[in-house]
Amino acid sequence: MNNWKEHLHVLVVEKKWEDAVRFLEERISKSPQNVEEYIQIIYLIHNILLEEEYPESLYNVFSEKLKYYFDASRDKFSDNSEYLFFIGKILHIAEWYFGLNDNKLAVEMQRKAAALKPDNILFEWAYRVSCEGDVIHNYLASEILKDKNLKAWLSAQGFPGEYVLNHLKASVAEL
Amino acid sequence: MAHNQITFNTISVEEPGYLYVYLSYDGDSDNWVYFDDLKITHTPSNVVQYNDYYPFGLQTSSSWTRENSGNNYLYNGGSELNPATGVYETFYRGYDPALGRFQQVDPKAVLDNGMSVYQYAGGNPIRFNDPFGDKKVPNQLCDCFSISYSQNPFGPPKSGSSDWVSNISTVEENASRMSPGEFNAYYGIETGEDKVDLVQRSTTSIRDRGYITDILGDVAENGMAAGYQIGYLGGADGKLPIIEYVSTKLNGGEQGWWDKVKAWFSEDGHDSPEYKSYMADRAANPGFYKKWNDIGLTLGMFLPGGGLKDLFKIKGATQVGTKLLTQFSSRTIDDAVGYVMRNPNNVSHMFNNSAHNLGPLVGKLGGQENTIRSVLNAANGVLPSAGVFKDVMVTVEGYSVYLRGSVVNGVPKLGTMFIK
Repeated sequence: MNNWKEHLHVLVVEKKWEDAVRFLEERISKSPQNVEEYIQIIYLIHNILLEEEYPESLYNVFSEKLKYYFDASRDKFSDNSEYLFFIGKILHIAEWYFGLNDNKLAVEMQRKAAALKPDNILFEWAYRVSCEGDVIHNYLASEILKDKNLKAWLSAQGFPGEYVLNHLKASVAEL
Repeated sequence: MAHNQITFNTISVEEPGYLYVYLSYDGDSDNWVYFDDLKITHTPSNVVQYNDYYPFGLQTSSSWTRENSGNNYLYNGGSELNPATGVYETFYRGYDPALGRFQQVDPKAVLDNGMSVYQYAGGNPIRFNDPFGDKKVPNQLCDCFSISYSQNPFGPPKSGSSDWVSNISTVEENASRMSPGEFNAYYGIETGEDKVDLVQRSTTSIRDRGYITDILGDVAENGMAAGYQIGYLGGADGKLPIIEYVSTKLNGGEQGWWDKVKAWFSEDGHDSPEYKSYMADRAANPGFYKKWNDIGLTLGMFLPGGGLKDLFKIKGATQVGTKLLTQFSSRTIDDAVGYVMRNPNNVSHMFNNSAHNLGPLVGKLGGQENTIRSVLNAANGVLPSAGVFKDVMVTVEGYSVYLRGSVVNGVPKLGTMFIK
């Protein structure tokens, strides 16, 4: 994992939410074309809003930032399969924070990610998970977890990668 | 090309829910397998029994039961109707619905000063019930209609509930009619679909010391509902009804009675000790008040005989027992459960996070879907009518479950839930 991700990880473990968000914002301002930082900040703020404790006074701050960075990145990275894969997955969970009313955009992002990288079974798995009635995504999950390269790549992504890995492991457990 | 016709045995569906049908090829070969001409037939089962009753419980001749499929355990949800004698066998006594009286002496006759030790429900089955044969208990629905005159702040009933509504006058005038030392109120809320929920709240102080009973009435048509918001709070000296506010949302009237309450009290001379006490109580118990305020619950008032019924236009209202106020219909809850369960992304997020500590609850309730449904049912009535909610706490099977999510287009969407 890169040093900056390790630093971010430390801030997250210590639940220094404002510092973590500020750290990513600074990186984005310096390198606005880097997709990784956008993925990280969207996952981070989404997780804070949905799962963590934070002062009520920060609710509007965080929710506005989440929507801001989503809006600022969705067109910019609309052809980036990595972005589409990660963001498409997280959009399913609490779409209201992104100003959406349903998960249509989430599914479309995942479909596009799989279409851009048809040989990537990770992207195919993510898309199939979102297709109601699909019966092979659990099987694909088991294949992905056998693939050391894919696992290593996910692990290198920090929190978003770990989040996906967690779902993959749960899918395999259902087999 | 080789082909096979595959058929499956008929599945008998015993309870409401979803039936998922999958077609897949699980063989080891690399052959392509195609499925076509898939046919699924749904055959609804026949009605096996329906019953109509006279007020004292005698079935009318229109009642009908399919042969060998009758259910005689319908008296107050449990006691048996003896088909040979026509007597309801309650826990303490046999009750003859044809005569409208019990067959044995009231085992707790000393508790009541009725005219007969054989009478059923005080001779008034509309207002009272007697589930076990030992004691008459008020029907919650009837409580609403039988508000005692002694507590009625407006004196004897006037003719016609519509007059009642239109005759509501100023706050001060109604204040003069309030009974000293009493606080009582009735609440109603519309569900937005085909029924109306009424909540009765009867207290002797501003804080609820009594009970909240939910009365569901099916509304055949003209949903009340949206109709009225009426609020009164009685002060200790009988001179301080907090607010009267009639809103006819259906007719484009105003909403936001609570803002009116606050506005009225912001005026000179209205800021009474009772109001300060009330506000302090609100501040100390935000969850309680949120339950009946923020979801749009309406404060009602005493209405004499039938008035409430007419006011809210309930038709065919039936008592369904004591439960908390419902906010979402069962269909909406189904949608909310389906929203999570149909999407493995949501299911995984909610249940595969060890920090959520949901394992024991899921085990106790027999699955994830049951867990979501139970949680949503428990939250029914305490969620906002729209928008994001955070850390709404509900108790399910003894566990305190915290919910976060959003109510979108009238449907509660769970983003996460966890047990601390």
